[in-house]
Amino acid sequence: MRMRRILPGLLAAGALALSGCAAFQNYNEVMAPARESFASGRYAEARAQLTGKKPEAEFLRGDQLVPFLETGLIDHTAGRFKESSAAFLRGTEIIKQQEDKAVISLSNAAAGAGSLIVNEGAAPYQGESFEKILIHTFLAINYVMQGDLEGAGVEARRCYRRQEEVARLHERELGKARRENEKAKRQEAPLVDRDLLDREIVHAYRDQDSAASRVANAYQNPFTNCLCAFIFRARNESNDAYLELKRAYTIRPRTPLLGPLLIETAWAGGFQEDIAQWEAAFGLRREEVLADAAKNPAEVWILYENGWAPLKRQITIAFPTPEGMVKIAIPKYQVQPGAAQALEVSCNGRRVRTDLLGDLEAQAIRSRRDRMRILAIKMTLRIVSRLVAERELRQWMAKEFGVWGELFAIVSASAVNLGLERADLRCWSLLPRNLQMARLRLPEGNAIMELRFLGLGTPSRQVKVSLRAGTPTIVLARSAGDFASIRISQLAASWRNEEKHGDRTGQTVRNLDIK
Amino acid sequence: MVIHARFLAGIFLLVSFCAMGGCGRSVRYGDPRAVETVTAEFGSTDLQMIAQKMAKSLSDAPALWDKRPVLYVAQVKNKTTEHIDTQNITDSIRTQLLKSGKVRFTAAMEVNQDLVQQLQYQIDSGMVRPDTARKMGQQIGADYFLYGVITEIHKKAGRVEDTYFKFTLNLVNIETALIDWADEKEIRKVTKRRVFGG
Repeated sequence: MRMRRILPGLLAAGALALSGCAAFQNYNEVMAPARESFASGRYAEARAQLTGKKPEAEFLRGDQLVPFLETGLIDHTAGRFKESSAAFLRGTEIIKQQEDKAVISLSNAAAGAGSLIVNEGAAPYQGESFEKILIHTFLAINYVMQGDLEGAGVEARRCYRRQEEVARLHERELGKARRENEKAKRQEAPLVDRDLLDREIVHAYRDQDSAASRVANAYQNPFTNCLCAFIFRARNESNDAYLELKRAYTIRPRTPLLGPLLIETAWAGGFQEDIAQWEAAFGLRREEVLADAAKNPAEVWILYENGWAPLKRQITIAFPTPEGMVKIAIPKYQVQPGAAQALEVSCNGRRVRTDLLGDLEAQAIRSRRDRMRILAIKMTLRIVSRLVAERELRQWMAKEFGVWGELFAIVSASAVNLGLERADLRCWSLLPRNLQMARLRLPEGNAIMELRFLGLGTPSRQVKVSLRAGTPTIVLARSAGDFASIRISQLAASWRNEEKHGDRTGQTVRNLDIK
Repeated sequence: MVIHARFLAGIFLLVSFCAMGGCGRSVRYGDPRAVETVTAEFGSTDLQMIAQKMAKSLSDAPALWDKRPVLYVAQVKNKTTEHIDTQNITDSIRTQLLKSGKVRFTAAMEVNQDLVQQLQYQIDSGMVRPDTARKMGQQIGADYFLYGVITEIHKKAGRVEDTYFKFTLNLVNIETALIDWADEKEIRKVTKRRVFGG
C-alpha cells in the first residue's frame, strides 16, 4: 500500500534523472550569452559558450539535436562552412536515429514517461518539421559556398525528400489526432473536455492567426525550392531545376525573382510549351529575357538570412476538469525585433532587392499552433495524473498525521507542481526571421558591387567582384540586430572540371562583417 | 492509475539498466569484404559489388580485346540523397582493371600539375643527372574515358523503407565519341523498422 503512495514520487525522481536538467532549464536563458555574442559577430565566443571546453570530436558525439542546430548556424554565419556541415550532418543523424527507432522503443517510452510525469522538456528535442527541412537548406548553402556542387546536389534532393516526408507525416498526425478526438468524445466520463481544451488553445494563439496565415503550411519553403533550382541549374540539370521553380511558384506566385528564371530554365530544359504561361503571369517577353541573359551572362545570386526568428515564451491556460481547475504551461512564439526589409544590391547600374521567400517566423508560429492542439491533450493528461496522485497523498497524510500532515501535503504538492509545470522553450533560436533571395544578371568583367541593408542602421558596403559567365557569384548575408555579415564565394569555372576528384582548392570565400 | 504507474516504473528500471550496460566502447578488426548491413545507406558492400561487376564486365568488353587501351576516369555524377564518395568507387574499378592487365590508365588528368613540376625539376633544376632525366612530350594519349552516374529511388511506407541504387558506367572512345561499352549495377535495400527495441 505504501509503495502505491510513493510510486509517483519515485517515478518522478527517476524520470528526472533520465531527463537531465533540460526539463527545468529556461532555454532562452541558457542561450542568452551565445545569442548576444552571435549578435555582435563574436562567433568563436558564441560557439564556445555552447560547446564549453569540449574537444570537437567529443562534441560531435553528442546525442542532443539542439546544440548541433545552433552551433551549425553559428559556424555557417562565421563562414566556417566545413565545421558547420559537420554539426548539421550530426544533427541529421540524430533526427534519423529518432525516426528509425523501433515502434515500441524503450528509450522513447522512458522519454514519454518522463515528459508525462515531469514536462515536455524531459523528452529529447525532436525538432519542428520546418527545422528538419532547413537543416538541409543550410547544408546545401554550405556546400555551395565551398564550391562543392556534388554535396549541394545531395542536400538539394534531401530537401525535397524531407518536404515530402513531412507532408505525409503531417497528414498522418492530423488523422491520428482526429481519431483520438472522436474516441475521447465517445468516453462516458472523460478526464478532459477536449472541445473546451481545443477552444482554450485556439484562444491562446488567436492573436497570432494573421502571422500564421502568411504561410500555407508549416513546412513548405519556396526559398529552399529556389536554392535547389539554383544548384540544379549549376549542375546542368535543367529538368530538376524547372520542377523546383514551379514548386516555388505554386507557393509564392507573385515573386519577381521567379519570372525570368522560369522562362530561362523552361527554355534550357525544353519546356517551350510552358513559356507563354510565364510570359502572361509575369508580364515578360521571352525574347527580351533570353536577350538579356545573352548580353549579361554573369550571374550574382544573393542569399539573405534576415533578422531573428521568434523565440518561445511560456503562457498558461486554465480550464476545469473533474479533479479541479487545471493550469497548463504551453510555449508560444514571440516575435523578435531587428529585421531589415530587404538587401539591396547594385552593380554596373543595375539594382535588385531580395524577395522574401522563406517566412520562418510565420512557419514557426503556424507549426507551434498546429502542434499544440495535439500536444495539449498529452499535457492535460499529465496534470490530471498529478492531481490524482496529489489527492491520494493528501488523503493518506491526513489519515496518518492529521491536519498538519494534510497541510504539509498540500504545500509540498503545490511546490512540486510549480517546479514541474514548465513549457518546453527549446527551439532553433538563432534562425533568421526570414530567408530572402535575389539574382542579378551582369556583363562579364571586374565591377564594384554595393550592398545595402534596407531598414537597418548598418552602413552600405562596397566590394570588388570579378564577374564571369558560367561562374555564378554567391553573396551570402546575415543581419541580426545592428550586425551584419557578408560572405562572397564564386562557383568554379566549370563544374565538370572543378568536380574532378574533389579538387576544390581554388575555392575562396571572402568574409566581410559590418557593424 | 496504479497499473499505469507500475508500467512506467518498469520502463524506468529497464532503461536504467540499458543505460548502464551501454557505457564504454569496444574496438575490433573486421573483415573488409564481409557483408555490411548496418544501415540501408550506401556502404562498403555496395561499393565492392559495383566495382567487381563493372571491372569484370569492362575487362570482358570487346573494345578492350588485345589492345591494352589507355583510359582515364572522368566524373561519376552522384544523383542520390547520400554523400557518396564516387572517387572511392572509380578507384576500386580502376585498381581491379589494372590488376587484370587488360588496360592502362593515364594519370595526366588527375596529377598533371605534379607531373609537369617533376619534369621541370628533372630538366631545369640542375639537380638531376641529365642521362636519367625524363623528357617532356612523352605522355601517352588516352584512347577512352569512363564516366558514370549513380541514381537513387527511395520509398517509405509505414515501417518499410525501400532504397534502390543504380550505377551506370560508360566507356567513351575519344576519337570517335562513340560509347563503346556501358553497363549498370542495380542494388536494392529494404529496411523495416522493428516493433520492439531500445
